[in-house]
Amino acid sequence: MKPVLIGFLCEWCAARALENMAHKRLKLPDGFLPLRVRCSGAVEPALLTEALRRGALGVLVGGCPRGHCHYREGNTRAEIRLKVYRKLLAALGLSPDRVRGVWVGSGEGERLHREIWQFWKELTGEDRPL
Amino acid sequence: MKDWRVFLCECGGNIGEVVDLSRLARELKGKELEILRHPFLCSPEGQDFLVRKSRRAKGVLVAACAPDLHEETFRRLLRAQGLERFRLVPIREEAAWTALSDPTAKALRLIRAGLAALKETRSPPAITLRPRPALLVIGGGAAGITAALKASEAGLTVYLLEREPFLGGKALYLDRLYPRLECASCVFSPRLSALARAERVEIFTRARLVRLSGLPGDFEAEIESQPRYVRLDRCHGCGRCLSVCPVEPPAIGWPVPHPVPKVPVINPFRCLRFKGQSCRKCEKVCPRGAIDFEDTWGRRTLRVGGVIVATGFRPYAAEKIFHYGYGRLPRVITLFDLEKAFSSGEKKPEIFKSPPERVTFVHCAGSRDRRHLPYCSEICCGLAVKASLRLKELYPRAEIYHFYQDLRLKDPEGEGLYHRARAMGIRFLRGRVAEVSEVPWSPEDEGRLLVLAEDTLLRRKMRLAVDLVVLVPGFVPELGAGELASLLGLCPGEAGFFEPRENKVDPAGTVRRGIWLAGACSGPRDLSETVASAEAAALEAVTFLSRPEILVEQSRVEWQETRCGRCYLCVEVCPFKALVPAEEGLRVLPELCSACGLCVSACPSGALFLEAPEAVFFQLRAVLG
Amino acid sequence: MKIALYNALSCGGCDLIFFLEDLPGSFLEDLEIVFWPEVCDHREEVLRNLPEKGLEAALICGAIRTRDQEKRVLLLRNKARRLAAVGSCALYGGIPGLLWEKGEGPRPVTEVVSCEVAVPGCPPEPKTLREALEALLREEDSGGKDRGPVCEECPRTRRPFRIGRLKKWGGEEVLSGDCFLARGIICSGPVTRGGCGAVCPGAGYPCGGCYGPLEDLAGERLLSALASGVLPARADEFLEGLVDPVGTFFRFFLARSPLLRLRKRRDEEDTA
Repeated sequence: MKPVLIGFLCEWCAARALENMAHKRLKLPDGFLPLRVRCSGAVEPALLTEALRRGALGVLVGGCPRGHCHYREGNTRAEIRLKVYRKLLAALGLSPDRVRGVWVGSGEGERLHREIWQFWKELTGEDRPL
Repeated sequence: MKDWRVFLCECGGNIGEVVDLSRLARELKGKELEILRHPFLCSPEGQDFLVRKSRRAKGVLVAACAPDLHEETFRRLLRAQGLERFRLVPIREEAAWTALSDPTAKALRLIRAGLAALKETRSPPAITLRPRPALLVIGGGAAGITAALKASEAGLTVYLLEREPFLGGKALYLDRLYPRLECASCVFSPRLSALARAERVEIFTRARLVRLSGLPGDFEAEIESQPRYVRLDRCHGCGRCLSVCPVEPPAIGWPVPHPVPKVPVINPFRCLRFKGQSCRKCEKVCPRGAIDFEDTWGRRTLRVGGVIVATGFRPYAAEKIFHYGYGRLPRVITLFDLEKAFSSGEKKPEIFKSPPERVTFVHCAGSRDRRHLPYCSEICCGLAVKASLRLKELYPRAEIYHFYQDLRLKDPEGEGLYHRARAMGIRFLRGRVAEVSEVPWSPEDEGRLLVLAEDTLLRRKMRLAVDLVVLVPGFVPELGAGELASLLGLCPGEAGFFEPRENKVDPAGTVRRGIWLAGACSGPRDLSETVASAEAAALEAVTFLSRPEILVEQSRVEWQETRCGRCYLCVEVCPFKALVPAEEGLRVLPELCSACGLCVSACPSGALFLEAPEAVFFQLRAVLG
Repeated sequence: MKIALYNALSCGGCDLIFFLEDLPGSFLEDLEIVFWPEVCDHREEVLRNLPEKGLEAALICGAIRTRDQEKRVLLLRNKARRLAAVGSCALYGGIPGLLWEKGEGPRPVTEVVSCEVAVPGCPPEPKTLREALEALLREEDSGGKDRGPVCEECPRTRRPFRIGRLKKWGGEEVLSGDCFLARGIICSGPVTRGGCGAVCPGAGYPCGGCYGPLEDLAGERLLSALASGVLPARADEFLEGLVDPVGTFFRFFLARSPLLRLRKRRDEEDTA
């Protein structure tokens, strides 16, 4: 299976940042598959495990910038959960860097683009094609 | 029977030319699945096609553009024929425009994931409600005032919230207007007076929003106001209190050029009474008993149908550009200090004690600079040229230099202004100022400022000894915009300005229904643009709030008794306090639930559901499958 | 009625309950225990000499670690008409499941052979065992799938709460009679299937999860629940207090976690 990076993007900010990026026609790795969620806080750790178990190389959780969650503290929750989950991965001898949180505003398409590529390169060890 | 329908929109060539839709249709083909294709599903013919071809379907998936654009339209069309299961997959943004090498494969996976979720999807329950014909306008500057006026003229009740004691915002400090140099207060103050007279407008000064809850069409807004110590309902603005105040400058007053409301405010940090003394001179002299030393912080809850955000902008803090010496060097001022000095009405303000012989305007101070503001604020060039003309009028013998990067003078008349300035001897040099320093180059310039710059057109370095440096910084969102963005659930863009729902065709709308943007809170704007955008926002608000009824979707969390262990973790997890422990276990308060799903992801026993349980899991499995 | 009892990798605690508790009378009637290494016969020939499905039932405790154990369990599956997996080790890997290292470790019996009856617990409560054996006799399959969480049976007082600092078990927190989670002590009750009568929390000890996961990915769900209850300002303190995330979230069912398989896959890739 070709490497896959799952992106859970919150529909308020991160998914809109992806749209913003799309309007600028910035390209993402073919293996990056975005899934829209209502809030980054709705991404439960079980989903992360499910993604990894089914072969995803990494999981990116995209939420609103810190302090700007549309549901007050969803992204804060997501961040804490990711921290604990990363600790669990490390304790199991897995690389904690297979899950990552990215907090971007709806206008920050370019930043999301940078973050996704950075993550992708770290996961696959490949350099960005020109 | 092909119960499930997939509509592939070509979006002109946007999707059709990038994604191989025939291959997509071939690969998707299934026993229960009918694949349909249309060049523009959003067009009237396309909508008709969607309605016609989705008859007797169990569910419909549309692969098209981002949900912000047409999801609502499609959903409404389908719902009208009783079809609740609908899902939109934005393959234009997520595959066609962003896939590196194989958009078709990506689109296929995303559609498969969408289909997996579709079968588990239900549209959230919708309620119809009659919007309240009341509007909250946050910010009493040019935009807020215009929006409030227009909305009240159209029959809405308007609550106008201003953080400062007086309305008017930045426009109050404008002296002349670009590009015709008409007197700003002559143009602007009639508006202010009209507002003071307007019916159905309630003004809250020194107030801010602290909470907004509810649904579009029926929000509950809690506002908090600071004490003014002078009662708005009693004072009639005679100003006698100002003259009796023993403090110098008076602790009571209206320290703006054109105070609206014309009711003074007491500064508790200077007033003797608040320092423990027994002075009550102003109280005694007031003929209407408007002075109220007992005034306190207040809270009030307003019910409104919609909110217009008009918080505006502010100049970038020039202190941060260290090498220009603002705040450190005397006689380095910003354009706004200059503008304030002009508009204060005094002929010879403090900064011009001695007539300046040479003045430098430093354009783009901090703008188009990665370390400060990466963007161009567009309106500052015009303001600077305008101000330099005014300066030349006052001091005809002064030499005036503009250091610019690119002159952006809008309007057909902007160019005329530039020629007028040139004709008056004002000089324009292209290049960035490297440094402003107080160390003179030669002894005779002692006491003047040294400006080091490069004229990039003549390719020479410049040294100028000047008497006044006017920095022209760009604009940033007004203080507190971020906090307000959190309160309202609006996402600020990279620069911190509010993002409209769609820049070109919906500049006043936001991602939240019932909340609109007016004026410079969504980017730097001059007065005319501000007024136009405020009118647009008011029109949106009036249209929305005068509908007889609106349909509001309200998904909410469902609780399953048999799974619940009553650990009550969710109660505190809910940021909206929508879950409460009850006799039977747990109760979900639908009016407070915003369906964020935080409790669902927190529930260890899987007793809480949002839409269909585990729809995301199905989606995930399909996308990885 | 011919039956066999077998204990693979376990502490032996499950065996003991057969001695200690009253078993259903009908179960003991004309019972012939053919094979029970710890008590009567331990020779494998006894089993091998039996005809296929010659045993009415076999009860298996413990997790499977060695090839020998695996062989024996497969043999039992072959000879017994009905199989019961007794105890957390047999069902979910249990405590021996924590031995997983580098993608290798004891597997639950249920992953090696299919079992008709599940008897969860470490050790199973007598009531659970009795019910399961009755089900075995009635020729029913039993998994106890329709149960709610342990909390449903828990006598401790519940109220809404947030977690500040994680605390060690003991003292006032126990005596208070409050929900352990509300007191900052990790308890697997909410993610664990009920049926035990919440004996541990009732006796003042937090649930470890021996009755098995209420739902798939229970460890992750417990993690999510705890992380959701933490006060954001004290998240780092919480993280520091979480010394052993694996043992905390997966005490009795680590062997079933897909994350372990993930680990295995990666190791295979490494060696390949």
